[in-house]
Amino acid sequence: MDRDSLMRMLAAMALVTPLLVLFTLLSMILWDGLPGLSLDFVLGLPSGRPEETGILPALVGSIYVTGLATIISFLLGLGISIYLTEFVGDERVREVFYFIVDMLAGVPSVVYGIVGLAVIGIGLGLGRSVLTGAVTLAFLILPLVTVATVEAIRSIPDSLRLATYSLGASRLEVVTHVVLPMALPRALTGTVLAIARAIGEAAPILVISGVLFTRSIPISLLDEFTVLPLVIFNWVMRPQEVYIGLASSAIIVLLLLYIGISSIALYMRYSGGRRIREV
Amino acid sequence: MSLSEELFERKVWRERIFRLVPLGLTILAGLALASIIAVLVVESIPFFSRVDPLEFLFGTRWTVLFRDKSFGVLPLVWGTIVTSMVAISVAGVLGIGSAIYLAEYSSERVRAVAKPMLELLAGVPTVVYGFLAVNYVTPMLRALIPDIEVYNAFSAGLVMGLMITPIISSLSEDAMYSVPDSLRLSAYALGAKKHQVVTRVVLRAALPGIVAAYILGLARAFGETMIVAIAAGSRPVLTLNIFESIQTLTGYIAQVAMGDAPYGTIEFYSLFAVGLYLLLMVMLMNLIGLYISRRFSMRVSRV
Repeated sequence: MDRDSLMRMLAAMALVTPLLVLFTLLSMILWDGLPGLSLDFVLGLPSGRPEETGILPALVGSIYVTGLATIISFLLGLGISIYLTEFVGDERVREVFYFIVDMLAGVPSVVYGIVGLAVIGIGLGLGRSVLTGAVTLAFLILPLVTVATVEAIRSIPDSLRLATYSLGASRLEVVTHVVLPMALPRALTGTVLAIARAIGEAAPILVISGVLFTRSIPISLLDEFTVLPLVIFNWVMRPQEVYIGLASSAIIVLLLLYIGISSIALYMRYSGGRRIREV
Repeated sequence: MSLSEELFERKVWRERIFRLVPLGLTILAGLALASIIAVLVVESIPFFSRVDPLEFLFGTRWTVLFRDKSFGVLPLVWGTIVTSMVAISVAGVLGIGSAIYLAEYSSERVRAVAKPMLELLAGVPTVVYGFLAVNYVTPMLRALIPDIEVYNAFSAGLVMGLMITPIISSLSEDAMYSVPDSLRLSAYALGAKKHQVVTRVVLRAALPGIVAAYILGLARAFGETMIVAIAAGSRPVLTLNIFESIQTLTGYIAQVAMGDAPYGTIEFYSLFAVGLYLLLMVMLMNLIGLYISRRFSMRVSRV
Protein backbone atom coordinates (compact mmCIF):
# COMPACT_ATOMS: atom_id res chain seq x y z
CA MET A 1 0.00 0.00 0.00
CA ASP A 2 1.34 3.44 -0.79
CA ARG A 3 1.85 6.00 1.90
CA ASP A 4 -1.09 8.14 0.88
CA SER A 5 -3.70 5.48 1.41
CA LEU A 6 -1.92 4.25 4.53
CA MET A 7 -2.19 7.71 6.06
CA ARG A 8 -5.81 7.97 5.06
CA MET A 9 -6.59 4.56 6.55
CA LEU A 10 -4.84 5.28 9.86
CA ALA A 11 -6.68 8.58 10.23
CA ALA A 12 -10.00 6.93 9.47
CA MET A 13 -9.26 4.23 12.04
CA ALA A 14 -8.55 6.88 14.65
CA LEU A 15 -11.95 8.36 13.98
CA VAL A 16 -13.84 5.06 13.96
CA THR A 17 -12.09 3.37 16.91
CA PRO A 18 -13.39 5.52 19.78
CA LEU A 19 -16.92 5.49 18.36
CA LEU A 20 -16.83 1.73 17.82
CA VAL A 21 -15.39 0.96 21.26
CA LEU A 22 -17.94 3.14 22.96
CA PHE A 23 -20.87 1.67 21.05
CA THR A 24 -19.68 -1.83 21.87
CA LEU A 25 -19.42 -1.02 25.56
CA LEU A 26 -22.77 0.76 25.55
CA SER A 27 -24.47 -2.22 23.94
CA MET A 28 -23.03 -4.36 26.74
CA ILE A 29 -24.78 -2.03 29.16
CA LEU A 30 -28.03 -2.59 27.24
CA TRP A 31 -27.47 -6.34 27.53
CA ASP A 32 -26.96 -6.10 31.30
CA GLY A 33 -29.57 -3.45 32.00
CA LEU A 34 -32.57 -4.01 29.76
CA PRO A 35 -33.90 -7.10 31.60
CA GLY A 36 -34.19 -5.10 34.83
CA LEU A 37 -35.74 -2.04 33.24
CA SER A 38 -39.44 -1.68 34.00
CA LEU A 39 -41.94 1.00 34.85
CA ASP A 40 -41.77 -0.13 38.48
CA PHE A 41 -38.03 0.49 38.43
CA VAL A 42 -38.29 3.98 36.93
CA LEU A 43 -41.28 5.12 39.01
CA GLY A 44 -40.62 3.12 42.18
CA LEU A 45 -39.11 4.13 45.51
CA PRO A 46 -35.72 2.75 46.56
CA SER A 47 -35.78 -0.32 48.73
CA GLY A 48 -33.25 -2.26 50.73
CA ARG A 49 -34.16 -5.28 48.63
CA PRO A 50 -32.45 -4.86 45.24
CA GLU A 51 -35.17 -6.65 43.27
CA GLU A 52 -37.85 -4.17 44.40
CA THR A 53 -35.87 -0.98 44.23
CA GLY A 54 -36.67 2.09 42.12
CA ILE A 55 -35.09 5.37 41.11
CA LEU A 56 -37.97 7.86 41.31
CA PRO A 57 -36.51 10.20 43.99
CA ALA A 58 -33.23 10.45 42.09
CA LEU A 59 -35.00 11.00 38.78
CA VAL A 60 -37.11 13.78 40.29
CA GLY A 61 -34.00 15.21 41.95
CA SER A 62 -32.09 15.24 38.65
CA ILE A 63 -34.88 16.97 36.75
CA TYR A 64 -35.57 19.41 39.59
CA VAL A 65 -31.96 20.49 40.11
CA THR A 66 -31.06 20.57 36.43
CA GLY A 67 -34.22 22.47 35.50
CA LEU A 68 -33.66 25.09 38.15
CA ALA A 69 -29.97 25.40 37.28
CA THR A 70 -30.86 25.90 33.62
CA ILE A 71 -33.29 28.73 34.35
CA ILE A 72 -30.81 30.52 36.65
CA SER A 73 -27.94 30.03 34.25
CA PHE A 74 -29.91 31.13 31.21
CA LEU A 75 -31.06 34.37 32.84
CA LEU A 76 -27.53 35.11 34.09
CA GLY A 77 -25.99 34.25 30.74
CA LEU A 78 -28.50 36.34 28.84
CA GLY A 79 -27.83 39.38 31.04
CA ILE A 80 -24.09 39.01 30.69
CA SER A 81 -24.14 38.59 26.94
CA ILE A 82 -26.46 41.55 26.46
CA TYR A 83 -24.06 43.66 28.48
CA LEU A 84 -21.00 42.43 26.60
CA THR A 85 -22.47 42.82 23.12
CA GLU A 86 -24.78 45.83 23.44
CA PHE A 87 -23.19 48.01 26.11
CA VAL A 88 -19.44 47.44 26.15
CA GLY A 89 -17.75 49.61 23.57
CA ASP A 90 -14.18 48.86 24.61
CA GLU A 91 -12.84 45.74 22.93
CA ARG A 92 -10.32 45.24 25.75
CA VAL A 93 -13.04 44.94 28.40
CA ARG A 94 -14.72 42.31 26.28
CA GLU A 95 -11.44 40.42 25.83
CA VAL A 96 -10.86 40.38 29.58
CA PHE A 97 -14.32 39.01 30.13
CA TYR A 98 -13.98 36.30 27.50
CA PHE A 99 -10.77 35.32 29.24
CA ILE A 100 -12.61 35.03 32.57
CA VAL A 101 -15.26 32.86 30.91
CA ASP A 102 -12.54 30.63 29.43
CA MET A 103 -10.93 30.22 32.84
CA LEU A 104 -14.28 29.50 34.49
CA ALA A 105 -14.94 26.84 31.88
CA GLY A 106 -11.66 25.17 32.85
CA VAL A 107 -12.39 24.91 36.59
CA PRO A 108 -12.94 21.21 37.42
CA SER A 109 -16.57 20.48 38.24
CA VAL A 110 -15.67 18.95 41.60
CA VAL A 111 -14.13 22.29 42.61
CA TYR A 112 -17.45 24.00 41.88
CA GLY A 113 -18.97 21.48 44.28
CA ILE A 114 -16.53 22.32 47.08
CA VAL A 115 -16.95 26.07 46.64
CA GLY A 116 -20.74 25.76 46.30
CA LEU A 117 -20.93 23.79 49.53
CA ALA A 118 -18.75 26.31 51.38
CA VAL A 119 -20.35 29.51 50.04
CA ILE A 120 -24.01 28.61 49.48
CA GLY A 121 -24.48 25.55 51.67
CA ILE A 122 -22.56 26.66 54.76
CA GLY A 123 -21.94 30.40 54.21
CA LEU A 124 -25.50 31.34 53.22
CA GLY A 125 -26.93 28.57 55.39
CA LEU A 126 -28.91 26.84 52.64
CA GLY A 127 -27.48 23.46 53.59
CA ARG A 128 -27.14 20.46 51.32
CA SER A 129 -30.35 21.43 49.55
CA VAL A 130 -31.83 21.44 46.07
CA LEU A 131 -31.24 25.19 45.89
CA THR A 132 -27.54 24.88 46.75
CA GLY A 133 -27.13 22.20 44.12
CA ALA A 134 -29.03 24.18 41.49
CA VAL A 135 -27.11 27.43 42.00
CA THR A 136 -23.79 25.57 41.90
CA LEU A 137 -24.74 23.74 38.71
CA ALA A 138 -25.93 27.05 37.25
CA PHE A 139 -22.46 28.54 37.69
CA LEU A 140 -20.89 25.35 36.37
CA ILE A 141 -22.75 25.58 33.05
CA LEU A 142 -22.64 29.39 32.90
CA PRO A 143 -19.58 29.49 30.60
CA LEU A 144 -21.30 27.19 28.08
CA VAL A 145 -24.50 29.21 28.17
CA THR A 146 -22.72 32.57 27.98
CA VAL A 147 -20.52 31.61 25.04
CA ALA A 148 -23.55 30.28 23.14
CA THR A 149 -25.60 33.41 23.85
CA VAL A 150 -22.80 35.82 22.97
CA GLU A 151 -22.24 34.02 19.67
CA ALA A 152 -25.96 34.07 18.96
CA ILE A 153 -26.20 37.81 19.56
CA ARG A 154 -23.03 38.56 17.61
CA SER A 155 -24.37 36.73 14.58
CA ILE A 156 -27.12 39.34 14.21
CA PRO A 157 -26.14 41.80 11.49
CA ASP A 158 -25.43 45.30 12.77
CA SER A 159 -27.51 46.78 9.98
CA LEU A 160 -30.67 45.59 11.75
CA ARG A 161 -29.67 47.29 15.01
CA LEU A 162 -28.81 50.50 13.20
CA ALA A 163 -32.04 50.44 11.23
CA THR A 164 -34.02 50.12 14.45
CA TYR A 165 -32.08 52.89 16.17
CA SER A 166 -32.68 55.13 13.19
CA LEU A 167 -36.40 54.69 13.68
CA GLY A 168 -35.99 56.26 17.10
CA ALA A 169 -35.90 53.10 19.20
CA SER A 170 -34.13 53.18 22.55
CA ARG A 171 -31.52 50.60 23.51
CA LEU A 172 -34.08 48.70 25.61
CA GLU A 173 -36.39 48.53 22.62
CA VAL A 174 -33.64 47.40 20.29
CA VAL A 175 -32.70 44.63 22.69
CA THR A 176 -36.21 43.41 23.42
CA HIS A 177 -37.63 43.78 19.90
CA VAL A 178 -34.69 42.94 17.65
CA VAL A 179 -31.73 41.37 19.41
CA LEU A 180 -33.50 38.92 21.72
CA PRO A 181 -36.09 37.52 19.30
CA MET A 182 -33.41 36.91 16.69
CA ALA A 183 -30.77 35.51 19.02
CA LEU A 184 -33.09 33.29 21.02
CA PRO A 185 -33.09 30.15 18.84
CA ARG A 186 -29.31 29.86 18.82
CA ALA A 187 -28.98 30.89 22.45
CA LEU A 188 -31.49 28.22 23.42
CA THR A 189 -29.61 25.60 21.41
CA GLY A 190 -26.49 26.26 23.46
CA THR A 191 -28.51 26.18 26.64
CA VAL A 192 -30.07 22.82 25.80
CA LEU A 193 -26.58 21.42 25.19
CA ALA A 194 -25.65 22.71 28.64
CA ILE A 195 -28.67 20.89 30.13
CA ALA A 196 -27.40 17.66 28.59
CA ARG A 197 -24.09 18.28 30.30
CA ALA A 198 -25.67 19.17 33.65
CA ILE A 199 -27.97 16.15 33.85
CA GLY A 200 -24.98 13.82 33.93
CA GLU A 201 -22.87 15.79 36.44
CA ALA A 202 -22.10 13.70 39.48
CA ALA A 203 -18.97 15.11 41.12
CA PRO A 204 -20.26 18.52 42.32
CA ILE A 205 -23.54 17.01 43.46
CA LEU A 206 -21.66 14.30 45.34
CA VAL A 207 -19.82 16.97 47.32
CA ILE A 208 -22.91 19.10 47.88
CA SER A 209 -25.62 16.56 48.55
CA GLY A 210 -23.60 13.57 49.74
CA VAL A 211 -26.88 11.62 49.66
CA LEU A 212 -26.54 8.36 47.76
CA PHE A 213 -29.74 6.74 48.94
CA THR A 214 -33.02 8.39 49.92
CA ARG A 215 -36.68 7.38 49.85
CA SER A 216 -38.02 10.92 50.03
CA ILE A 217 -38.84 12.86 46.89
CA PRO A 218 -37.56 16.47 47.03
CA ILE A 219 -40.38 19.03 46.95
CA SER A 220 -39.22 22.21 48.68
CA LEU A 221 -36.15 24.11 47.51
CA LEU A 222 -34.53 23.38 50.85
CA ASP A 223 -35.06 19.62 50.80
CA GLU A 224 -32.18 17.20 50.66
CA PHE A 225 -31.91 15.36 47.39
CA THR A 226 -29.98 12.92 45.29
CA VAL A 227 -29.59 12.63 41.53
CA LEU A 228 -29.52 9.76 39.07
CA PRO A 229 -25.73 9.80 38.50
CA LEU A 230 -25.17 9.49 42.26
CA VAL A 231 -27.49 6.50 42.56
CA ILE A 232 -25.58 4.88 39.71
CA PHE A 233 -22.31 5.72 41.47
CA ASN A 234 -23.60 4.11 44.66
CA TRP A 235 -24.57 0.90 42.85
CA VAL A 236 -21.37 0.73 40.81
CA MET A 237 -19.32 0.86 44.00
CA ARG A 238 -21.04 -2.24 45.43
CA PRO A 239 -19.39 -5.59 44.82
CA GLN A 240 -22.53 -7.78 44.61
CA GLU A 241 -23.55 -9.04 41.18
CA VAL A 242 -27.16 -7.80 41.44
CA TYR A 243 -26.05 -4.16 41.56
CA ILE A 244 -24.38 -4.42 38.17
CA GLY A 245 -27.82 -5.02 36.69
CA LEU A 246 -29.37 -2.18 38.67
CA ALA A 247 -26.58 0.22 37.71
CA SER A 248 -26.94 -0.77 34.04
CA SER A 249 -30.70 -0.20 34.11
CA ALA A 250 -30.26 3.21 35.73
CA ILE A 251 -27.53 4.08 33.20
CA ILE A 252 -29.95 3.29 30.37
CA VAL A 253 -32.43 5.77 31.84
CA LEU A 254 -29.71 8.41 32.26
CA LEU A 255 -28.42 7.88 28.72
CA LEU A 256 -31.94 8.13 27.31
CA LEU A 257 -32.31 11.47 29.07
CA TYR A 258 -28.88 12.60 27.83
CA ILE A 259 -29.39 11.49 24.23
CA GLY A 260 -32.94 12.87 24.21
CA ILE A 261 -31.84 16.32 25.36
CA SER A 262 -28.81 16.34 23.03
CA SER A 263 -30.94 15.39 20.05
CA ILE A 264 -33.26 18.30 20.76
CA ALA A 265 -30.22 20.59 20.74
CA LEU A 266 -28.84 19.10 17.52
CA TYR A 267 -32.24 19.40 15.87
CA MET A 268 -32.52 23.01 16.99
CA ARG A 269 -29.04 23.76 15.69
CA TYR A 270 -29.94 22.69 12.17
CA SER A 271 -33.43 24.19 12.02
CA GLY A 272 -32.61 27.36 14.01
CA GLY A 273 -29.39 28.15 12.18
CA ARG A 274 -31.12 28.38 8.85
CA ARG A 275 -33.65 30.93 10.01
CA ILE A 276 -30.95 33.46 10.89
CA ARG A 277 -29.13 33.10 7.62
CA GLU A 278 -32.28 33.83 5.62
CA VAL A 279 -32.52 37.36 7.03
CA MET B 1 -44.63 68.73 32.89
CA SER B 2 -46.44 67.80 29.71
CA LEU B 3 -47.50 64.26 28.99
CA SER B 4 -44.88 63.69 26.31
CA GLU B 5 -42.11 64.93 28.62
CA GLU B 6 -43.34 62.59 31.31
CA LEU B 7 -43.31 59.66 28.92
CA PHE B 8 -39.82 60.60 27.83
CA GLU B 9 -38.65 60.80 31.45
CA ARG B 10 -40.10 57.38 32.12
CA LYS B 11 -38.33 55.99 29.10
CA VAL B 12 -35.02 57.45 30.23
CA TRP B 13 -35.42 55.85 33.66
CA ARG B 14 -36.25 52.51 32.13
CA GLU B 15 -33.08 52.77 30.08
CA ARG B 16 -31.03 53.54 33.16
CA ILE B 17 -32.40 50.59 35.09
CA PHE B 18 -32.01 48.40 32.06
CA ARG B 19 -28.35 49.29 31.90
CA LEU B 20 -27.75 48.31 35.52
CA VAL B 21 -29.13 44.77 35.40
CA PRO B 22 -26.76 43.30 32.80
CA LEU B 23 -23.88 45.24 34.33
CA GLY B 24 -24.62 43.71 37.74
CA LEU B 25 -24.83 40.19 36.32
CA THR B 26 -21.54 40.64 34.48
CA ILE B 27 -19.79 41.82 37.63
CA LEU B 28 -21.26 38.82 39.47
CA ALA B 29 -19.79 36.38 36.95
CA GLY B 30 -16.46 38.19 37.00
CA LEU B 31 -16.43 37.87 40.77
CA ALA B 32 -17.24 34.16 40.53
CA LEU B 33 -13.73 33.34 39.35
CA ALA B 34 -12.07 35.50 42.01
CA SER B 35 -14.31 34.10 44.73
CA ILE B 36 -13.66 30.48 43.76
CA ILE B 37 -9.96 31.03 44.40
CA ALA B 38 -10.56 33.22 47.47
CA VAL B 39 -12.92 30.70 49.10
CA LEU B 40 -10.49 27.84 48.60
CA VAL B 41 -7.62 29.89 50.03
CA VAL B 42 -9.59 31.10 53.06
CA GLU B 43 -11.08 27.69 53.82
CA SER B 44 -7.69 25.97 53.64
CA ILE B 45 -6.25 28.29 56.31
CA PRO B 46 -7.52 26.03 59.14
CA PHE B 47 -5.86 23.10 57.38
CA PHE B 48 -2.52 24.83 56.99
CA SER B 49 -2.61 26.11 60.56
CA ARG B 50 -2.45 22.48 61.66
CA VAL B 51 -0.34 21.08 58.82
CA ASP B 52 3.06 22.37 57.77
CA PRO B 53 2.70 23.48 54.12
CA LEU B 54 6.09 21.94 53.39
CA GLU B 55 4.90 18.58 54.70
CA PHE B 56 1.77 18.94 52.52
CA LEU B 57 3.70 19.77 49.36
CA PHE B 58 6.58 17.32 49.69
CA GLY B 59 5.38 14.58 52.04
CA THR B 60 5.07 11.12 50.55
CA ARG B 61 2.37 9.66 52.80
CA TRP B 62 -1.30 10.67 52.64
CA THR B 63 -3.28 9.08 55.46
CA VAL B 64 -5.69 11.84 56.44
CA LEU B 65 -8.63 9.45 56.84
CA PHE B 66 -6.75 7.17 59.25
CA ARG B 67 -6.05 7.64 62.93
CA ASP B 68 -2.31 8.00 62.38
CA LYS B 69 -2.41 11.00 60.06
CA SER B 70 0.19 12.06 57.50
CA PHE B 71 -0.45 14.95 55.15
CA GLY B 72 1.89 14.52 52.20
CA VAL B 73 -0.06 15.20 49.01
CA LEU B 74 2.45 13.69 46.58
CA PRO B 75 0.79 10.24 46.33
CA LEU B 76 -2.46 11.90 45.22
CA VAL B 77 -0.61 14.09 42.72
CA TRP B 78 1.18 11.05 41.39
CA GLY B 79 -2.13 9.20 40.98
CA THR B 80 -3.54 12.14 39.05
CA ILE B 81 -0.47 12.33 36.80
CA VAL B 82 -0.45 8.59 36.06
CA THR B 83 -4.13 8.31 35.09
CA SER B 84 -3.96 11.52 33.05
CA MET B 85 -0.86 10.37 31.20
CA VAL B 86 -2.54 7.11 30.20
CA ALA B 87 -5.56 9.13 29.08
CA ILE B 88 -3.56 11.63 27.06
CA SER B 89 -1.57 8.87 25.34
CA VAL B 90 -4.81 7.31 24.13
CA ALA B 91 -6.57 10.56 23.32
CA GLY B 92 -3.47 12.07 21.76
CA VAL B 93 -3.24 9.36 19.11
CA LEU B 94 -6.97 8.95 18.48
CA GLY B 95 -7.72 12.65 18.71
CA ILE B 96 -5.08 13.79 16.25
CA GLY B 97 -5.85 10.94 13.86
CA SER B 98 -9.54 11.71 13.77
CA ALA B 99 -8.79 15.43 13.43
CA ILE B 100 -6.55 14.71 10.41
CA TYR B 101 -9.30 12.63 8.87
CA LEU B 102 -12.01 15.22 9.48
CA ALA B 103 -9.95 18.22 8.40
CA GLU B 104 -8.07 16.76 5.43
CA TYR B 105 -9.80 13.67 4.08
CA SER B 106 -13.46 13.35 4.96
CA SER B 107 -16.37 14.25 2.71
CA GLU B 108 -18.91 16.76 3.93
CA ARG B 109 -21.40 13.98 4.57
CA VAL B 110 -19.05 11.98 6.82
CA ARG B 111 -18.19 15.16 8.69
CA ALA B 112 -21.83 16.02 9.24
CA VAL B 113 -22.38 12.61 10.88
CA ALA B 114 -19.07 12.13 12.68
CA LYS B 115 -18.82 15.54 14.35
CA PRO B 116 -22.11 15.34 16.29
CA MET B 117 -21.29 11.74 17.23
CA LEU B 118 -17.93 12.79 18.68
CA GLU B 119 -19.66 15.63 20.48
CA LEU B 120 -22.14 13.15 21.94
CA LEU B 121 -19.23 10.96 23.01
CA ALA B 122 -17.64 13.84 24.94
CA GLY B 123 -20.77 14.51 26.94
CA VAL B 124 -21.65 11.00 28.07
CA PRO B 125 -22.00 11.26 31.85
CA THR B 126 -18.71 10.35 33.48
CA VAL B 127 -20.27 7.86 35.91
CA VAL B 128 -21.10 5.85 32.81
CA TYR B 129 -17.45 5.90 31.74
CA GLY B 130 -16.45 4.81 35.23
CA PHE B 131 -18.89 1.91 35.08
CA LEU B 132 -17.52 0.86 31.67
CA ALA B 133 -13.98 0.89 33.05
CA VAL B 134 -14.59 -1.19 36.13
CA ASN B 135 -17.17 -3.60 34.70
CA TYR B 136 -16.01 -4.30 31.16
CA VAL B 137 -12.54 -2.89 30.51
CA THR B 138 -10.76 -4.26 33.58
CA PRO B 139 -12.20 -7.81 33.20
CA MET B 140 -11.21 -7.81 29.50
CA LEU B 141 -7.70 -6.61 30.34
CA ARG B 142 -7.36 -9.40 32.87
CA ALA B 143 -7.07 -11.83 29.96
CA LEU B 144 -3.90 -10.02 28.85
CA ILE B 145 -2.56 -8.90 32.22
CA PRO B 146 -3.49 -11.49 34.87
CA ASP B 147 -2.07 -9.41 37.74
CA ILE B 148 -4.24 -6.38 37.10
CA GLU B 149 -6.15 -5.25 40.18
CA VAL B 150 -9.92 -4.69 40.22
CA TYR B 151 -9.32 -0.98 40.68
CA ASN B 152 -6.33 0.30 38.73
CA ALA B 153 -4.91 3.40 37.13
CA PHE B 154 -4.67 1.88 33.64
CA SER B 155 -8.35 1.07 33.04
CA ALA B 156 -9.44 4.42 34.43
CA GLY B 157 -6.91 6.18 32.19
CA LEU B 158 -7.91 4.24 29.08
CA VAL B 159 -11.56 5.13 29.47
CA MET B 160 -10.75 8.71 30.35
CA GLY B 161 -8.74 8.82 27.12
CA LEU B 162 -11.87 7.84 25.24
CA MET B 163 -13.69 10.68 26.95
CA ILE B 164 -11.17 13.40 26.08
CA THR B 165 -10.52 12.19 22.51
CA PRO B 166 -13.35 14.39 21.14
CA ILE B 167 -11.97 17.45 22.92
CA ILE B 168 -8.50 16.99 21.46
CA SER B 169 -9.94 16.07 18.09
CA SER B 170 -12.15 19.13 17.86
CA LEU B 171 -9.48 21.59 19.05
CA SER B 172 -6.82 20.11 16.74
CA GLU B 173 -9.23 20.13 13.83
CA ASP B 174 -9.90 23.82 14.42
CA ALA B 175 -6.14 24.41 14.34
CA MET B 176 -5.74 22.45 11.08
CA TYR B 177 -8.77 24.11 9.58
CA SER B 178 -7.30 27.54 10.15
CA VAL B 179 -4.14 26.67 8.22
CA PRO B 180 -4.54 28.76 5.07
CA ASP B 181 -5.18 26.82 1.87
CA SER B 182 -2.45 28.81 0.13
CA LEU B 183 0.10 26.81 2.13
CA ARG B 184 -1.40 23.49 1.03
CA LEU B 185 -1.62 24.59 -2.58
CA SER B 186 1.98 25.84 -2.63
CA ALA B 187 3.12 22.46 -1.34
CA TYR B 188 1.12 20.65 -4.00
CA ALA B 189 2.56 22.99 -6.62
CA LEU B 190 6.02 21.86 -5.55
CA GLY B 191 4.97 18.29 -6.26
CA ALA B 192 4.19 17.12 -2.74
CA LYS B 193 1.90 14.17 -2.17
CA LYS B 194 -1.11 14.40 0.09
CA HIS B 195 0.53 12.65 3.03
CA GLN B 196 3.51 14.97 2.72
CA VAL B 197 1.24 18.00 2.71
CA VAL B 198 -0.54 16.71 5.81
CA THR B 199 2.53 15.82 7.84
CA ARG B 200 4.98 18.47 6.69
CA VAL B 201 2.75 21.45 6.07
CA VAL B 202 -0.59 21.19 7.85
CA LEU B 203 0.56 19.43 11.02
CA ARG B 204 3.60 21.67 11.28
CA ALA B 205 1.63 24.88 10.80
CA ALA B 206 -1.05 23.69 13.21
CA LEU B 207 1.45 22.45 15.80
CA PRO B 208 0.93 25.22 18.39
CA GLY B 209 -2.83 24.67 18.21
CA ILE B 210 -2.36 20.94 18.61
CA VAL B 211 -0.04 21.41 21.58
CA ALA B 212 -2.65 23.70 23.12
CA ALA B 213 -5.29 21.03 22.52
CA TYR B 214 -3.14 18.45 24.34
CA ILE B 215 -2.61 20.76 27.29
CA LEU B 216 -6.30 21.63 27.55
CA GLY B 217 -7.19 17.93 27.27
CA LEU B 218 -4.68 17.11 29.99
CA ALA B 219 -6.25 19.77 32.22
CA ARG B 220 -9.62 18.11 31.67
CA ALA B 221 -8.16 14.75 32.67
CA PHE B 222 -6.64 16.24 35.83
CA GLY B 223 -10.02 17.52 36.97
CA GLU B 224 -12.05 14.45 36.02
CA THR B 225 -13.55 12.93 39.15
CA MET B 226 -16.09 10.16 38.72
CA ILE B 227 -14.10 7.87 36.43
CA VAL B 228 -11.15 7.74 38.81
CA ALA B 229 -13.35 7.62 41.90
CA ILE B 230 -15.05 4.51 40.50
CA ALA B 231 -12.28 2.72 38.61
CA ALA B 232 -8.85 3.83 39.89
CA GLY B 233 -9.19 2.85 43.54
CA SER B 234 -8.72 4.66 46.81
CA ARG B 235 -5.18 3.76 47.83
CA PRO B 236 -2.84 6.77 47.77
CA VAL B 237 0.52 5.17 47.01
CA LEU B 238 3.56 6.18 45.02
CA THR B 239 3.80 3.22 42.67
CA LEU B 240 5.25 2.79 39.22
CA ASN B 241 2.90 -0.10 38.49
CA ILE B 242 -0.03 1.30 36.51
CA PHE B 243 -2.01 -1.91 37.00
CA GLU B 244 -2.28 -1.27 40.72
CA SER B 245 -4.88 0.65 42.63
CA ILE B 246 -4.02 4.32 43.30
CA GLN B 247 -5.83 7.48 44.32
CA THR B 248 -6.03 10.83 42.57
CA LEU B 249 -6.62 14.32 43.99
CA THR B 250 -10.20 14.24 42.72
CA GLY B 251 -10.68 10.66 43.89
CA TYR B 252 -9.76 11.73 47.41
CA ILE B 253 -12.28 14.58 47.30
CA ALA B 254 -14.98 12.13 46.22
CA GLN B 255 -14.03 9.71 48.98
CA VAL B 256 -14.33 12.42 51.65
CA ALA B 257 -17.63 13.60 50.18
CA MET B 258 -19.01 10.05 50.38
CA GLY B 259 -17.90 9.62 53.97
CA ASP B 260 -19.64 12.77 55.25
CA ALA B 261 -16.73 14.50 57.02
CA PRO B 262 -18.22 16.70 59.78
CA TYR B 263 -17.75 20.45 59.51
CA GLY B 264 -14.69 21.69 61.38
CA THR B 265 -12.63 18.49 61.27
CA ILE B 266 -9.25 18.27 59.59
CA GLU B 267 -10.76 15.83 57.07
CA PHE B 268 -13.30 18.47 56.10
CA TYR B 269 -10.71 21.21 55.67
CA SER B 270 -8.44 18.89 53.70
CA LEU B 271 -11.10 19.09 50.95
CA PHE B 272 -10.24 22.73 50.42
CA ALA B 273 -6.48 22.25 50.54
CA VAL B 274 -6.65 19.46 47.97
CA GLY B 275 -9.20 21.40 45.92
CA LEU B 276 -6.95 24.47 45.90
CA TYR B 277 -3.95 22.40 44.82
CA LEU B 278 -5.97 20.85 42.01
CA LEU B 279 -7.41 24.17 40.89
CA LEU B 280 -4.01 25.87 40.74
CA MET B 281 -2.53 23.04 38.66
CA VAL B 282 -5.47 22.96 36.26
CA MET B 283 -5.60 26.74 35.93
CA LEU B 284 -1.89 26.89 35.17
CA MET B 285 -2.34 24.35 32.38
CA ASN B 286 -5.35 26.19 31.00
CA LEU B 287 -3.42 29.45 31.05
CA ILE B 288 -0.55 27.91 29.10
CA GLY B 289 -2.97 26.25 26.67
CA LEU B 290 -4.94 29.44 26.07
CA TYR B 291 -1.76 31.47 25.70
CA ILE B 292 -0.39 29.13 23.04
CA SER B 293 -3.64 28.96 21.10
CA ARG B 294 -4.08 32.77 21.16
CA ARG B 295 -0.57 33.43 19.91
CA PHE B 296 -1.14 30.86 17.25
CA SER B 297 -4.38 32.37 15.99
CA MET B 298 -2.62 35.72 15.67
CA ARG B 299 0.10 34.16 13.54
CA VAL B 300 -2.38 32.61 11.16
CA SER B 301 -4.25 35.85 10.62
CA ARG B 302 -0.98 37.47 9.58
CA VAL B 303 -0.33 34.90 6.87
